[in-house]
Amino acid sequence: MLRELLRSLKEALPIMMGVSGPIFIASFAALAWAGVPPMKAVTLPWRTGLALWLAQAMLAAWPLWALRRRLLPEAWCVQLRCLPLTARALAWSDVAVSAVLLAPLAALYALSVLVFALHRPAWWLQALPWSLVSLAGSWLASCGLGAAALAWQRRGGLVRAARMAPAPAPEVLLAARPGQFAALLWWPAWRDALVPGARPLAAGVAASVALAVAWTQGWWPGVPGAAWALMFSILAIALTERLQRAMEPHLDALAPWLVSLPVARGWRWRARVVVCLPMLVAGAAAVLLALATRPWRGVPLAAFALGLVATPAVMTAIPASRREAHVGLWAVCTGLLTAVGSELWN
Amino acid sequence: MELTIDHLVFAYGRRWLFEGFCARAGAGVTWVQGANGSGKSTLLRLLAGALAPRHGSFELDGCRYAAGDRVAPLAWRQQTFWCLSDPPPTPWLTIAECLGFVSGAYGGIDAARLREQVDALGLEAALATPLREASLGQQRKTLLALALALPVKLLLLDEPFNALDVASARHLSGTLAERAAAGEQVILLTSHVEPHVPVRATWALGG
Repeated sequence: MLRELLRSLKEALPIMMGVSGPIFIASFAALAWAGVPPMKAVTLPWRTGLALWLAQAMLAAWPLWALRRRLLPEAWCVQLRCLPLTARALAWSDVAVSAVLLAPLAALYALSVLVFALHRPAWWLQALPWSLVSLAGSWLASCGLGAAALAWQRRGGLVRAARMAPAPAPEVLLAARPGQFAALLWWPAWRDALVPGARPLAAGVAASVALAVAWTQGWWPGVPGAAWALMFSILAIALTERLQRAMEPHLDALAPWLVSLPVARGWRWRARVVVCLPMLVAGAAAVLLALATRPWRGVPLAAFALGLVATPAVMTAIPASRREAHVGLWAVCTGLLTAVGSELWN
Repeated sequence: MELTIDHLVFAYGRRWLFEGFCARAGAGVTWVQGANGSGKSTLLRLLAGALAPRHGSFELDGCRYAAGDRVAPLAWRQQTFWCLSDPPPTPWLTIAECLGFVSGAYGGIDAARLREQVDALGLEAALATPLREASLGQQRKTLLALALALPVKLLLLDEPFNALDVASARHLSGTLAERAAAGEQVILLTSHVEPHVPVRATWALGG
């Protein structure tokens, strides 16, 4: 059986090479652009150059900030405080972890330099050797920012800040009667008991709205409307999917306790609305932008709006544990929304 | 006041725990005892509505909850409080917020009575502490403060003395003894060791 598999793979190899070869070469060329901003920064006026350089360094360090809770879970941080480790050793460990995680970026920058060394564009030759110094400095700055993110997590800065705030009097604390929405849905999201929490979700919605703005305003005419529609749909659906996958175990953990309390039974419906909310907000923004900037085209716009409401409604009707159904829905809904969305601009 | 359990049938998959279990408990403390896995906590979960019985019914003071009901009726839940043996499943809330949320759900709670229990259990200084940062004892005391403050008719206490300091355990014993003497509540209490409270009846499960 293994022999048959190998034979069929061997037969398919030319086809695979033919199909994936150009994609691979195109990806390779795209990778070379990773190092451009820090190298280009030295050729720009100092304010613009510094802003570009800082933006690249911060963007590259962002994964470490996003992953800090996974890299250093709270329980580990508590254990670390108990171990006989010096502050210097801990700081070096943060730098080492940061460097290891950013090693692929260093390889990407090296690849970028190699490609530019082969093509030798005039602006790059003129900027030598400072462009290389800027590129190396950008990577080091990303490492430093990543290490700072880990140190922030390790020291539990947020927890300490919360403890330092004076607590209200017991009478005030005991007088509060949090409602179901706040206690069961909003606070878990805001206090990062739900992952993704409220802040990453808000960032995701903002990114979706930014895509909708770029799409409707035609900021980059070179990018076709269908590509914007595709990116917008993928991101909006991803937000729904990710939130649903977080919400279901959250509700399952609460359910046995909640059904024993005399609370109204609408909490599952409210949770479902919350899961749908990011896509509905992003969708409403896209539809309003389309109404404001494009000639009135009732049928495609109504179909697009209907798709934006129906997609999260259908997705949340099917448990996230049914992976095949969700992947299928994702593909179908993305295709439909992209097709209808690009129709608005034809 | 009397709690009646009528022909209760329940199984986890094919593991039968109750096959036509019948019992009555009057006002006061009933000690539910039995070996590990005999169904003590399950019985409390069933009475709380956290698990659905396959057959049978419960009745307390004219309010009935039977197998086939999708969830326990609201009237049943309003007169029942389940003090689970695990910490509250809302680790993102502070102790005060957890107390506020649950007491808000029951409504009509006497704020002075809640404050009295908070003080007696030594929770006052920890009210602003998130449950996920509170000690196991503080997490248990949060539920016990509610159990002792809420004006419910059926109190389900699952291993209430676990993780309590001496002073809090003494307060809990004293308060339960007062409640038992007042005859206003049916209190079902599971415990591996003999509880230091006047017990009106004992149910031995799995025997």
